[in-house]
Amino acid sequence: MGKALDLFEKEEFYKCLQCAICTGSCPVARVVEGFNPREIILRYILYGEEDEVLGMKEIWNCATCHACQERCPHNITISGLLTHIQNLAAKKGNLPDTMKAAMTLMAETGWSIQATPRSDRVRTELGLAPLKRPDTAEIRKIFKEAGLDEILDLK
Amino acid sequence: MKISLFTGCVIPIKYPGMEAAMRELARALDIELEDVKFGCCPAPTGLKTVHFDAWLALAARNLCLAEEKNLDIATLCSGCANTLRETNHILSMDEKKRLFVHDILASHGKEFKGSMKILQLPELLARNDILDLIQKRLKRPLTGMKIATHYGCHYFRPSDIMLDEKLDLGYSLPYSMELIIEALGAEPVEYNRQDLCCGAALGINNGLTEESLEIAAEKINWMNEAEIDALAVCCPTCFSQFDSGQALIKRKKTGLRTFPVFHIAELVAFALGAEVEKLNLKSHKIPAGALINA
Ligand code: SF4
Ligand code: SF4
Repeated sequence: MGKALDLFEKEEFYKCLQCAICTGSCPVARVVEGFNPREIILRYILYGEEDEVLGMKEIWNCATCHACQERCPHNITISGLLTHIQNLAAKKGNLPDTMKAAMTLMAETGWSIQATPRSDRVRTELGLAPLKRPDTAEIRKIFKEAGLDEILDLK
Repeated sequence: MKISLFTGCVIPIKYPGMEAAMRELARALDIELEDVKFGCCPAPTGLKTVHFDAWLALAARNLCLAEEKNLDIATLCSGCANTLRETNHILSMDEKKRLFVHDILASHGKEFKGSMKILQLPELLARNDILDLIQKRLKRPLTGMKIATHYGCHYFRPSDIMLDEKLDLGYSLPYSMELIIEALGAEPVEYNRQDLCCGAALGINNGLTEESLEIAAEKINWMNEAEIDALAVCCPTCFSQFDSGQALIKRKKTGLRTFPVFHIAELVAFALGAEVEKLNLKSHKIPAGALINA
């Protein structure tokens, strides 16, 4: 990883005022205790508590809605930082089982959700063609070449 | 007009009625759809957060598949549009990332040139010529219906990539679905905190279903306060969050006022006279009665 991952510039975050407009705009912070984008910036960047933050389960609660960065008075790319943190955390083994299962399914089927016999039955009833599976062999190779096997066993 | 249809995974597998609606409305509006064997977009809430490089490479592969046929892409899902458009943007702007992806794709006989446009269905339908055509060919006007919209965060954020015009501090919203709703003869309705997220990712990624529904419930309350007859969305994940979400919330909050939710493709196909059975509206958890009786 890191080859094409350059999602944020650290210096940009030194402009953070800790005003908490990001947290105030965050739909997840309102409903999940312990999730707070302002605090993630404070700890990860300003206090340098990188390892601690990379081990936090809470980082996976971000819905990637971008409300925080859209409203930040300093145009700080907060969701870019969160993606960066999540990517590094996944590499260290901090990845929820639900997400790991979803990534495995995608590598196996090329799709993000499981197709069932019912899908094709309903499609036929509606006059639609049966599902056409994407070229999963090529997709798996591309995943591997991009480095996903650092996180997932791609066989 | 000919365009490649990017259905994404959720619609063809879980909500095929929405795909059928898209095909019906395309036929009615003389839009020719080309089917390409795309893979998952992949989702901006999923693979992108886990492994950015793999996300970028797979998305670039999808773009190449459309580009090989010299076609623009029409999307039915805000997440797909976000991934494809952001990838197009990154590969056009960032030399390092372009070279990284180029090397991977070259070994599979593919090359990204960045010549295609990615159009979200509402943007496509809100073009003046198509709005005129919709009005001309309207078979079942939705007169008297008050319809609100929910675009889905990824439809319009980050605004510098997803929208041509910069929005005022994130308060303003797109209005293409409002134009379409008017063309269908219905009345678009505003409500409080219209730019709020549906909350779906929280349940899907982390199993926090309760919390995710709490986010949806707030938005549903604002919609009910505006006394809407129906909600229009342009994303199957938002659809599920509001359609199944209302059903789940109602189990605990039995007095909840509910309203049917529609993908904008379903509303347009219906108003243009598509056979109702073909739209599979019976798969909705909140009955579509308000529409059928309009
Ligand atoms: S809104 Fe911007 S400046 Fe304010 S705390 Fe958040 S990141 Fe820092
Ligand atoms: S992108 Fe994440 S951190 Fe930012 S407002 Fe949305 S859920 Fe909160």
